Amino acid sequence: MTFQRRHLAQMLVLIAVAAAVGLAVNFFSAEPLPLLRPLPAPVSAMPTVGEVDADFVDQVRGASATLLVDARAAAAYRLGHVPGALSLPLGEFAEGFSRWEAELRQADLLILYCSDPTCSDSPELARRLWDKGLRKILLFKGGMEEWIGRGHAVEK
Amino acid sequence: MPLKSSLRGILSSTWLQGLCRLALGGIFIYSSLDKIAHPDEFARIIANYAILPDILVTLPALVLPWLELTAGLLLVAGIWTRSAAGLLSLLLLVFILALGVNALRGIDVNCGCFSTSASDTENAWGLILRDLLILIPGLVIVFFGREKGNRD
Repeated sequence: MTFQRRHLAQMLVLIAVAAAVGLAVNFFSAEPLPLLRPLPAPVSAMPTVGEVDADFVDQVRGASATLLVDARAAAAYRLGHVPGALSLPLGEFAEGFSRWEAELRQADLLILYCSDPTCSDSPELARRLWDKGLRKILLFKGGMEEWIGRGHAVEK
Repeated sequence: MPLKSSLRGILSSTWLQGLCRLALGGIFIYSSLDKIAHPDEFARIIANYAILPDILVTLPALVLPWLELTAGLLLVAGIWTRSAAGLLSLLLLVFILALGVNALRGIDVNCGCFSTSASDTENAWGLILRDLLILIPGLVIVFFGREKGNRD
């Protein structure tokens, strides 16, 4: 019944396999974590991002230098979004960011939103974009709920 | 010693061992997935525990979730069960220690137990109790598990 040397060997094999897989996945990841180095600046390094409401968004959305970013899942975006907004789902941040990087960096103002005032996807997206060096970010905190509630047009 | 041997019989019975394997394996498979998907978040959580030096937080963030997943899968599949359960029991002891240290220091940390979400924050003593409960099936497998071809 006792634990034998065989079991210790199996445990070491398991640790080795997990380490190999974990490090390999990180190596091939779009955003690999630094090994044996501290993480990049923590979340709190980002200052509070300004918030705007639906009417402000409606006034500035036509301007060419303003970019509206929908942080919700792609399926929610397809069901209806603020006209002109691009889709950058938080869950597919790496792919989405590389697809839209040029546009995001060119814009003079980024306005991020998700479904309603309680959703956390747009604040989290703001943090990720901040980590990528983007600074001119505003949050449309009310999101789709406020946009529809104020009777603005929805694009599909 | 009929009582002792009957207790041992129950603990090493196929159905109880199977139940423990599925419970422990399932819990760890489930808990590994979100951490595998968000290693950066998990690394920040480990950093918040303020136990490891800054340069050492990414290694466990990358390796621990895969260790949980592989050991969990082996348990469910019934392969190397005692080693996998032993490893997960050791991990649980480490988690209990880490939670306990911070509970005593009064540092309120995001658990990082089942997800990397910030809402996964609960009372540390409750989390320790939960880990102790999860430890039970682990120890039942380690001490009373039987393996094919096992001579002892």
